Amino acid sequence: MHHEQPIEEAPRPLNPDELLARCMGNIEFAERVLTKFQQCFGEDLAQLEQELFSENVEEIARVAHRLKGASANAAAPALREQAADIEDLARARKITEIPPHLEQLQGAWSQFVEEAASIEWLEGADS
Amino acid sequence: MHVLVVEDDEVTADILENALHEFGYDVTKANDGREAIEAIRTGKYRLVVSDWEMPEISGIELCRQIRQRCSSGYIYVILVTSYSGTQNVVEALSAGADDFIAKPFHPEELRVRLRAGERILSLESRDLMIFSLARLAESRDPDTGAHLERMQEYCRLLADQLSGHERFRDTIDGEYVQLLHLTSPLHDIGKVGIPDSVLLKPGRLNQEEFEIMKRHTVIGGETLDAAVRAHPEARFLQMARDVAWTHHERFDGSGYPLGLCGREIPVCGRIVALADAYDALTTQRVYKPAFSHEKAKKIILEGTGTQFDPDVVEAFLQREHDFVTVSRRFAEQDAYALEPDDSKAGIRERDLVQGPLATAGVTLCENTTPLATAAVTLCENTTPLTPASSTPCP
Repeated sequence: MHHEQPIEEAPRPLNPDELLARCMGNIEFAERVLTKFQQCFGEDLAQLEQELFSENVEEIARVAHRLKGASANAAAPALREQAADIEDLARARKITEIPPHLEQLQGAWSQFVEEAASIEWLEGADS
Repeated sequence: MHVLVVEDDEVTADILENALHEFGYDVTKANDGREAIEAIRTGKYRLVVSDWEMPEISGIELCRQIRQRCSSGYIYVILVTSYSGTQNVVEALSAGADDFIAKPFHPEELRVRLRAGERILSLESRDLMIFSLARLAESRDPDTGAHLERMQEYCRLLADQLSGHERFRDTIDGEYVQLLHLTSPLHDIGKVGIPDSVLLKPGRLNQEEFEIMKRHTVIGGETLDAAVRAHPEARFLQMARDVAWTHHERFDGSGYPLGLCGREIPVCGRIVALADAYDALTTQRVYKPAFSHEKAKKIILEGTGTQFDPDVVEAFLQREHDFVTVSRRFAEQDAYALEPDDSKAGIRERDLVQGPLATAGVTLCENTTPLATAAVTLCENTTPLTPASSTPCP
């Protein structure tokens, strides 16, 4: 019999349950977090593009690291994964390999925004 | 309790603040390491939760700067970061962080790690309280200067030396050494129950006064006994009790209050006995000048096997250079610090050797009749102890 490797699921754009747990079950607060996250992430993404244009690898790594941490705490695993890849490349000074990953990050960001707009919180959570 | 959150990412900072508020903490946020240092200077924060990667001053550098400061109290630092791996953990802890949490953080994990930090901080309060109580007990006697500090160091040296001795290896470990350092200042806490007329008498005590003075061991021991009964799991209380009870026992069984003999005396009592004697000999008291180290050493050697445990004397000899260093280091703090003058002994050497050496402010009497009546269970013995029987000391 041919045993196939289990296919790893692609990380989700957003895990609302995880975010709500990190926000101590407070839906109103979780929604404020999402709003702020989208604002900050948008600004950082623009800065990342600028730093890539300037070929400033240290700044690329720093911004990518911040995006990685923020995405992790905002329960956005797909964004976290893409940001982590960019950070690793920047620290390895492989700047020419970054642009396709930036495109993937931008794609993941679009999916996140879409997901965040249609989120349904768990019933029974604090509001 | 106030927590300082140091995080340049606003989203993470908000999430941390919300979780900490839910846990009952008061939270202040700092956007970077520089703001954090300014906040820490206020002295308000004992708990810090910090990101690692931040502009200008990283979380690692913040840890280093916190540890370099002479703060009024310990500051417990938890780093929250998406850096992972053993190397990063080692780097963080080496820089002075106390704990390390990976992003994304789990609120419950943060809560329990903060609780661990609060337990650490509460120990500092315990240590300060113990020393303050000991200092209070000594405060009526102006003669003692930095006696408590020296005692702590002498006891630590002796215990540390004995920890390598085959006979004590099972009893004395690193924790034991630390506990003895902590509790040795409480040896004379029973003096609070001794009237001024006896405690502060400059001259020789008569028999009745000496009997009163000897009771400080019973007063201190019984007080700490009560504390042990209330908190039987507290090892530091057990040791403090044993020290208070037995620091005037003599190895040959002729000490007080219980007339314990040889290894019936808990080793902490045997250690404090020598440390206390050495300090009494090498510092000026109202009844005597300070003796030199060499003279004090000679007197202690003469008490080997009678007053002092030979193993403890041996430990003293092996660390005597450190004893001299400690004595000199604290000499400036001592109000009566003088150059040692062996020629002006206020009392006969015979009195020092025969009688209990370490009772401050007392010119010794030759009577060392055991005092105690109550049975006492000491931490290094499993059966209740009673006053010395007629059986000679082995």
